[in-house]
Amino acid sequence: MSDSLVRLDNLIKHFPLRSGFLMRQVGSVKAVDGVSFSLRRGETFGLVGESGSGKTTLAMTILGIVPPSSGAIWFDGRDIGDPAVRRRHPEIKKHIQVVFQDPGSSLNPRRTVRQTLELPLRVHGLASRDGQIHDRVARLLEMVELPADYMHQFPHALSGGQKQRVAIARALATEPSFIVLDEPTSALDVSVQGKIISLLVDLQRRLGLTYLFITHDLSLMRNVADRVGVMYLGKVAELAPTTELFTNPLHPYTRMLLSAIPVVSDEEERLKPVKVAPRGETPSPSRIPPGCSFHPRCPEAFEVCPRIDPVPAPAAQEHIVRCHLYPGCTPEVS
Amino acid sequence: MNTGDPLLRIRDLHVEFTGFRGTTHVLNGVNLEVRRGEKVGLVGETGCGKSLTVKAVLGLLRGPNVRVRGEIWFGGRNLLADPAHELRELRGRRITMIFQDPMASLNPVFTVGDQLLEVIRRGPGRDGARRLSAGAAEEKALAILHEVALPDPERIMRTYPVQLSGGMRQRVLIAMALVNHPDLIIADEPGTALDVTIQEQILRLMRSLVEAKGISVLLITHNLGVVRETTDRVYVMYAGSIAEEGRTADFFRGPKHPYTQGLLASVPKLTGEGVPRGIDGMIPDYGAPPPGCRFAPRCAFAQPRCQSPPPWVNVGEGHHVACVLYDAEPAARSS
Repeated sequence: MSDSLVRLDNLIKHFPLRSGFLMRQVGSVKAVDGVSFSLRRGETFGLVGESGSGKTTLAMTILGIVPPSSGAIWFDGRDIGDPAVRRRHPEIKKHIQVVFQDPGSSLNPRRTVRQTLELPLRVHGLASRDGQIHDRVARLLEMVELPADYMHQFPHALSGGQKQRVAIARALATEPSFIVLDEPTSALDVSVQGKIISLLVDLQRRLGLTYLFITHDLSLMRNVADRVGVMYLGKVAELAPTTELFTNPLHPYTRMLLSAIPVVSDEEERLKPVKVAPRGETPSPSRIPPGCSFHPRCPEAFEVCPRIDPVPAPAAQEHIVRCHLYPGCTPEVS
Repeated sequence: MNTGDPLLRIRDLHVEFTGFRGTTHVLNGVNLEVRRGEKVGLVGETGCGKSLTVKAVLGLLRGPNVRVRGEIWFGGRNLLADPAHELRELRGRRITMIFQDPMASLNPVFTVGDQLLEVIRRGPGRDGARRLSAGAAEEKALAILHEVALPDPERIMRTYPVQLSGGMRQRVLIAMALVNHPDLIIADEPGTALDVTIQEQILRLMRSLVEAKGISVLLITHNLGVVRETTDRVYVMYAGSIAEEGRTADFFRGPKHPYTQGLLASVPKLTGEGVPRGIDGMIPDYGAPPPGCRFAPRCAFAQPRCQSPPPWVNVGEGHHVACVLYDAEPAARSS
């Protein structure tokens, strides 16, 4: 896999739960529980999952905001999951940037757009003189299709879509190769979402960016991602190229998700898999059911499911699924 | 069920606020009807005035800086002409609400049982009885919790909202909205704060319960997919007035207004036909809205005639659109 930019190798993040006078560990929240996949250069990898599936924690470990409990994150030949490696190579931060969901809270309300955008430039020594900074900021704003005089505005004077454009410009300031997009359009209206998405797609093409696109909106994923991973309770349930995943969903959870999407045309209705009535709710990641964690909600669960946790296995070309219904997913019991 | 007067009828509703920077004219002649037993959707984007319309219906827009004009007829009475205390008789009894965020609409320091019993004690609803004994109220509470498919109602009654999951809290809110047998439920983005698999269950539950009880629903949402799957008729709102109205099936097969067409085209599709286009521009400043059609500045088909208020054109059975493009006699108008 020489063309992969980021490779997650059995990534695990457990948060300890402590309680009592001595703060003894009484359990753990298994937010990310053994995730392996790689992102290819220039692709958009979509990560979908419901609340509590661990998709944001996964992003946080890649960004170095929380260190992983175990496993590795390979980026450019280095394990960036290791905090010591990150300290030795501060330029890693330059290459990996992030755009968060709510631009209203991710932009500092007391900084003008210019102040927000010049900070990464100064920190990474990309520009130091005032004139240089002015030019760079103006160019960044142009990239996100905002007029240059917006640099003197405060965030409150901008609309939601404009704020998100500033957040994208901030991510682009350090000329990254990899951007984590954590629900970048969930807080926006659908007519604005379209504009932001086409901007992101356009930037990707022009700058050769790789995206990790996190969202709970499957219809959106269908249109932006090259490959999609579906997460459930800290594990990847299914991973496939986008068209394959949507036309031939294998995991019962993926099918349940797909059949629950509210769609706007009869044509789309026909594309949904045979109706799987959703039932139950995602359990807390601190009390993950034994065996396959999805079995209490699964309409197709059978006798093995509560006992043995399935392992991922390829079901077709590049299509990986983690479910006992498919050959190779049931580990040999010794 | 289209016989007789509609249950709720909003006619030419205008709402204006006076502030430091002059007057903002937000609602600009809203017309809307909900018939008995009908599920009606009111869709629009942030700031289009859909929640304001609901507030006007509930009589929550009162104050020195607000001016509400028009008529809101509910069950044969004009609510705008009614004094506030009579509105209190309606609210929570004949009209109930389900809000978006169940955590914010439940009081965290009281148990679910306390809050549900309070609702039961306060509202006799349609079945007339003035006061229920404590035992009867409790029985009624347990019955409704059972109806919304909450497991172990006795235990739920004793729990605090924080102890419940998001989906369960939303079910409690639905129980509260249904328990007094209202005529109309106004649901403001129900289940939007929840995951899709849970949202689907909540909407399915709501639909089956209101259909069984013959309750009318006004569903306020920005999610077009939800509207398509839960309503009989739909109104699309843009910048304070209704852009288009029609039966849900007709509307989704052939939206007419340039705004609604743009809105539907902005929704990412499962067919994967590519990145949605979105609509250029933004919602107008209500302090100085464009004269005539408020969508004209963003509209690809705008023409000089759009400078005057758009006509309300019938384009099919029960399908109306506020746009000059469908006006049959353009010559007569422009002369």
